[in-house]
Amino acid sequence: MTPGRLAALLLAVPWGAHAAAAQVLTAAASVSAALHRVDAGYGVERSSGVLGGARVSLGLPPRVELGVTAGAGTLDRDSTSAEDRHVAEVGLDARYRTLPWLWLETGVATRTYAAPIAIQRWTSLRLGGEARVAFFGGRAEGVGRVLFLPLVAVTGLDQPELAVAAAAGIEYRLGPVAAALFYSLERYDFPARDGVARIEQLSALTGRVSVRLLPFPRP
Amino acid sequence: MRRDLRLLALAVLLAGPLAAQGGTADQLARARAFYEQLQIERALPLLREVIAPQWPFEVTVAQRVEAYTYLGAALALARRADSAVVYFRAALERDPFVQLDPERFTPAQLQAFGRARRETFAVGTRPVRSARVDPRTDRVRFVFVTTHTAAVRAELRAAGAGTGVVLFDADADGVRELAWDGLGPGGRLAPPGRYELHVDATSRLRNVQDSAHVFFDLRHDVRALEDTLPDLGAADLLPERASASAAAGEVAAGIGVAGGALVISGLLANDALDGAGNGAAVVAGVATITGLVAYLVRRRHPEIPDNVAANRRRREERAAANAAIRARNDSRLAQTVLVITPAAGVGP
Repeated sequence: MTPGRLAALLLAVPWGAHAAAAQVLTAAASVSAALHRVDAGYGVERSSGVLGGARVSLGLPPRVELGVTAGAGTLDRDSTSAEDRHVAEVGLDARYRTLPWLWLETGVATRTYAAPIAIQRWTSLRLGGEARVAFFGGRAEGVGRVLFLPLVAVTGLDQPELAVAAAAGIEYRLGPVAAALFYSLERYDFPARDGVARIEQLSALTGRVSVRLLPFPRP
Repeated sequence: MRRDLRLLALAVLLAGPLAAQGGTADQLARARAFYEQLQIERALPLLREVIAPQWPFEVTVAQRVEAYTYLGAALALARRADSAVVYFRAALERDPFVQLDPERFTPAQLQAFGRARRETFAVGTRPVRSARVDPRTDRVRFVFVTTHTAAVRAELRAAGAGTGVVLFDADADGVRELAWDGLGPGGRLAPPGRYELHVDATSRLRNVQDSAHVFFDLRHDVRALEDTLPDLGAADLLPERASASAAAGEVAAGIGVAGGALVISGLLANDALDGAGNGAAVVAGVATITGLVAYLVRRRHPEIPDNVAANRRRREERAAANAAIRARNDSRLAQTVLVITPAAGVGP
């Protein structure tokens, strides 16, 4: 089963269970300062840049949320061995709230790195969870997130031995508006090929603003 | 054989009271027959025997009153008016409700009876009958009588209570019916219990007073009422003020987020890739500051607005629910039927 089909199946379960619930529509925009590191046996290649992103999510309270995420930007090389690249990503995810503070999440994402000499596509299935702890009288939430990527298909590369993503941050809420600051990191350790093990990492400091569009906030 | 003996014993046991009843009743029947045939001289001895102390049979009050009444009537026919009045008075003293039917008795008898009423003063009440009364459409009925004109005050009160509802306070002569709407002194439906109708009367003709009372039990026949919701206890309400530990928890939450970011940056990142940037430190700093600010705000303003609002909402919901229950109960109470049963006295 391909990662896409598996994700579609996982998405269908919570959708069917909560299709009749009241809906909450939220839109978000984000800006990330990203750092990319990769070592394919020729030393560490560093690049960095700004990535913009957007997300639309449909909440089916109290337990389900479905989301679409898209992002794009440019990573400029910070080392001579690296290359400038354009990055674009699209993802689908579904989240299920098992406890008031814990969401389980699954999703699929595809990311493209476009360099002058090649285009590399990453497609991954993601499974994990997100913990949210309210504090500051409910005006803020601490967020911790861990995702395992059991299926990752990368153009020209083998399935990584370790693929994990994690994030921590804080989100402030004021009525229908929320502002968040996250630190996130993705780590990929590929199996050795010809005695060389490729390791890759993408970290980002992300600021995000989201607005609840539906239902409209009461005056 | 043994069964026959038991039946014989039973017959012997029952023979005494039955004979007594039959003896008095037979005697009165014979006296009435003589009276109807105007054989007054033969009726009088029979009637006198009934009221004599030596009469061997049991005499009920009604039988004694009947005997006195016929004695008075017979003596009136015999033109012995003074004696007739004496016996009529004896009858009235035992039963103030005694009346002579003008269709059946002569003017002389009625005149003697009227004189007896004027010379005798007594007040009486009829026993209360068992009844079911809807106070919205019907009334509880009582009947009292005075032998002649009197100032009468009839008061209904709970047994043992000092005051009650005055049903009648005026002059009356003869039989009078009272109607009670089932309400107590406060205008509310009288509570279940034992009640007494007390009638005090003062003769307008003679300086004499008399009183009578009758007891009855009052019960409410009402559909079962709903219980109102109990008061909200501590377990039903959210804490409205944060504790000191909750304030400390704000710091802990901020530090937790900071720690999470640093753990990701420090432990999850691949050391071989020369670190993972300063983003984790930025998030850690912001989270820590947020936790400290939250701590200070919580210490200065420990109230929890959401919980206060939630508790207020719960109290309002409970009050609304109880108001609805009370309204339904009031509606049921308004349909209460009073069940009246006669009683013997103040106590059970």
